Amino acid sequence: MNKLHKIDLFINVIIPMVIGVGIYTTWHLSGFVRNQLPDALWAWALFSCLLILWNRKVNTFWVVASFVSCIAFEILQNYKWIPGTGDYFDVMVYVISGTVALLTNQYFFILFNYNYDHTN
Amino acid sequence: MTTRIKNLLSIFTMGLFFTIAIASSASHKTYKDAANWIPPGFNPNSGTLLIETHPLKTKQNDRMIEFLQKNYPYPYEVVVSSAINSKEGKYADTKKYPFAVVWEGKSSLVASPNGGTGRAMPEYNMYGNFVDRTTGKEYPTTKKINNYGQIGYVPFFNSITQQFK
Repeated sequence: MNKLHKIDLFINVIIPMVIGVGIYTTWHLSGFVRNQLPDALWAWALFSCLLILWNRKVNTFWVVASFVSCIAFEILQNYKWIPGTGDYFDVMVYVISGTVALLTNQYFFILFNYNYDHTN
Repeated sequence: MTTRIKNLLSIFTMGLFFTIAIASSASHKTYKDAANWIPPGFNPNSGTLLIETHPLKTKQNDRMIEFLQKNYPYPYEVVVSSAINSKEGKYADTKKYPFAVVWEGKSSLVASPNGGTGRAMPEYNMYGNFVDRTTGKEYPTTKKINNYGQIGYVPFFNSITQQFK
């Protein structure tokens, strides 16, 4: 993993996760920022992490697996099979965030072009 | 990095992210309409809030108490509903115990996801509301979507804590 690879990981995985945790632990926030933004950042970080792992080349299996897992996660929570609370709005947030991560993937691939050209 | 290692790392990544998600879900949720159901005269620092025991099993009550200990920094006591309603005994003093929180469990059958052709799924949700023990006035419960099941107390008390932070 070279320097650009680490920067990509830092910008798209570490920072969103840190911001998400920050929002979770900040009490005075409310509404979308408190309830859905951390979920959106979590999904962004998940999709980005998998894309970075595959050198910013879309691996259809893992992309589909991520979407399916996110939806299944909320369904399982809704039926109390796993801890938490199922929320259809959260599913929408995951799908939007994952889709945006995929749509911007090419941008990050070009941005860190040097990195991925030399790690393949 | 070989494809095999990438696949293994992908499995690990998914596992890690969903573990984080499970660990943090629900614990932060609040009801946005807290101002509508928290009594205007309620001050969590003034007096002790009486909280009715969890309407389901003892195990759920233990979890609720554990949650309160960790997340509700104001004075409270978890008591049975008869103690809240009684005009005698330890909790009769309404100056010391001016407000109470009581629970209502609402069970319903929700149509199956395949359009109702299959078996309906039972769903239980827990609604809380304040009672002014001096006047006997009951305040409304949240009007927001409540699909928090047996842990309906989590967004309820999160909302109160957030309101008075």
